[in-house]
Amino acid sequence: MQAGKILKHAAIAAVLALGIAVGGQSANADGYKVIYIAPQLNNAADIVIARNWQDVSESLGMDAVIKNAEISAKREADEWATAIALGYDAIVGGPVDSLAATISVKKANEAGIPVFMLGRTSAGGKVELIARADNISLGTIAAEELVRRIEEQRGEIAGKVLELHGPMDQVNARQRSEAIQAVLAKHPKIELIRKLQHWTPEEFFDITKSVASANELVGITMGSDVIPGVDAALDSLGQLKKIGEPGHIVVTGIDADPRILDLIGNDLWDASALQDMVGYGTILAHYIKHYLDGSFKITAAGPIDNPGAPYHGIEARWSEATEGWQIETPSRPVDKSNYTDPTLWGNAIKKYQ
Amino acid sequence: MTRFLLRNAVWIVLLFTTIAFVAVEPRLLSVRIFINVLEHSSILGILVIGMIFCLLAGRFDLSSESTLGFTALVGAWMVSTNPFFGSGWQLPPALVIVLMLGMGAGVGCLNSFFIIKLRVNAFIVTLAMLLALRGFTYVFTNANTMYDLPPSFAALGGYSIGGLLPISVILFLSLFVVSQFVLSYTTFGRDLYAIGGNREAAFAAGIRVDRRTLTAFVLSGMLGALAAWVLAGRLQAVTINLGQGMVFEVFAAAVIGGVSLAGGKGTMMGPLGGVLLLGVITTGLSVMPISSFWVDAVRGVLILAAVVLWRVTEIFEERWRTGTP
Repeated sequence: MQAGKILKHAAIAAVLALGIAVGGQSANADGYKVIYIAPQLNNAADIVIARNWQDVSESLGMDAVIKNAEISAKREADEWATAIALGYDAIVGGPVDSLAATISVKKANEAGIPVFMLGRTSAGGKVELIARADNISLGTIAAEELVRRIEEQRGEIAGKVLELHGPMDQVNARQRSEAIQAVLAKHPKIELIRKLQHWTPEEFFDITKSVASANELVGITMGSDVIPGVDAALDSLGQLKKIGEPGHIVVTGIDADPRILDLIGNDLWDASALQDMVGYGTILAHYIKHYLDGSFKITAAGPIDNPGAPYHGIEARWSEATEGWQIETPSRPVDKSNYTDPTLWGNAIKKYQ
Repeated sequence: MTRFLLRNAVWIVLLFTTIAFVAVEPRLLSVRIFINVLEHSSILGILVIGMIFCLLAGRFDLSSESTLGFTALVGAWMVSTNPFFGSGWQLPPALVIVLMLGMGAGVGCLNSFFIIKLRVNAFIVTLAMLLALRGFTYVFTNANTMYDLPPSFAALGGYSIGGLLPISVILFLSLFVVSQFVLSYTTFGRDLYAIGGNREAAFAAGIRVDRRTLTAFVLSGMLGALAAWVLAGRLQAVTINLGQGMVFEVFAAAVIGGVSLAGGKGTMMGPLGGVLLLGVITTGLSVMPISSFWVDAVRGVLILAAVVLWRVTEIFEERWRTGTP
C-alpha cells in the first residue's frame, strides 16, 4: 500500500517534470521551429557553438532547440529521427560520424526538411549550407606563429617540436594536423614529434610530460587548446617559463579557449589560432532565417552577404565544397596584443555564466 | 619454481616489457621517466584499489570514474577563484576536500543501498550511477572547464619533493601497501575474501555481509574522490570529461594483476604490477618514435597478451589445486 502511494507520487512528479522540461523549450512558439543536434556539449567550445547559434536564432524570432548526441552516432541518429518525426522546419547537424550521419540527412531530405551543418558535416545527403571554421587556416596560423616565435627567441628555426594531434578519422583534426605539418616541413631543422591523443586532459598531461622529459623541446603545438594539461605538465617539470625568460618553450594552440586567454595574459602561452565559432554560428542562424523566409539563397560563390551580424571585420566567402555550399570563417592569431578582445568567443562565453 | 614464476607473472611481464622498451628506446632509462611512469600510474592505481575491495566482495563498481569526474568538477567549482567559471564561493580548500571525500562516500552509500537493500544487480546500479553522475556534472557546471585552483588545493597532485618525486606517487604506493595490510591482517580483509568466495556461507558463518559490502563501496567512492583531488591538482584544471573511459583500464589492471571478477580471489600487489605495466606501456609509447597510428593498437595487443597470460596461470593453478594433469 505504502509502495503503491510512493509510486503514484513518483509518477505524478515525473509527469510534472516532463511537462516543465517540454514547456521550458518553447521560447518562440510562433516562429520557425529549428533544432541543432550537437555532437557533444562537454566543453566550452561546443557550448559556445550551440548557445550562440540558439541565442541568435531566437533573436531572429525562431524557436531554437538544442539536443546533445553525447559523441554517440546511435544517439545522434535517434535524435535526428525524432526531429524528423516532430516536423521541424530545419535541422542543424554537426555529425559525430560523418558517414553514419548521411542516412539521417537523407531521411530529412526525403521528409522535405532542409538540413544545415554547424562545425562539421556529413559525407552525403543534401545539405543547404555548412558553416565551419577553415581548419587549414587554423593549423597554418598555429604553426606559423610557432615558427615565428621560435625564431624570435632562438635566432633560428631549429629544434624539436611536439604536436599533439587528434584522431585522424576526424576531418577537423586531420586538416589541422596536415596544415601544421605542411608549415613545419618548410623548416628542415625542425624535428617534429607527432603524438596522437583523444582530447582528454590526462593524455595531454602525460604525453607532454613524457616527451618533454626525454627531449629538449623548443616548441609545442596542438589540434585544440580547449583541453588542459600541457601547461600543467611543463609546470611539473619546471619548464613552464614566461615568454622572454631563458628556457621558455614556445606553445601555440588552436581555438583560443578562455583558459588559454588567461595564460596568454600571464605570458605563459604564446599564441592561439582563433576558431571563430561565434562568427560562423551567427552567419548560419541568419542564413537559415533568410532561407526559410525565401528571401535569400546562395547561388554563386563570392563574398558573404554578412547578414546583419557583427563579424569581427573578417572577410568570408560562400564557396562550394564537395558536400554542398559552405561558409568557412578564416582564423586569426590571438596573442598578448588582442587577448582581451570582447568579440573572442573565449571572452564572449562569460555572458553564459 | 614454475609455480612461483606463474604466480608473479605480471611482475615478470612488467620486467620484460620494460627491458624491451628500453632496448628499443634507451632514453626511457632515466629517473625522470621512471618517476613519470609512477606518476602516470597513480590515478589509475588509486581507483584500482577501490575496485579491488568491491571485486573481492564479489561486486562491481563501474561508477568510480564518474565519481572521480563529478567530485573533481564540483570540488573545483566550489574552490575556484575564477570570477566567471567558478561558483564564486571560493570555499577553503580543506573544507572542499572534506566535502569531496564526503561526496565520494555518499556515492558509495547510495550504490550500497540499491545493491544491499533493494537487491539490484551491482553492475546495473553502478552503471546507472556512472551515467547519472556524468549528467549531474553537466548540470552543475554548464560543461565549463574549471581552473584557477588555489595552490593549497592543487598541492597533492602538483607538488613534487625536490622538484622530482610527486607526492601523489608516495600517496599511491602507500595506499597499496596499507590496503594489502588491510586485506591480509584485518577482519575486514578476511571477511571480503569469504564474502566473495561464497556469500551464503559467509553469512552462515556470522560475517556481517551487508556491512562489509557497504564499507567496500564507501571505500571505493572515497578513493574515487581522492583520485579526483590528485588529478585536479596535477592538471590545475578540471574538464567535464575528466576520467572518462578509465573504468576499462581499472578492470584491465585488476584482471592482469590476478583479481578474479567472480570475487574472493586476488591481492593488492598483483594489480599494482598491472597498473605499473599499463603505465610503462603508455609512457613508453609516448616517448618512442612510433607512428601515432600504432599507439592504440600496440597498447591493446600488449594488454590482451597480459590478460591471456594471467588466464594461462589461472588454468595451471587450477590444475595444481585439483591434481588434474
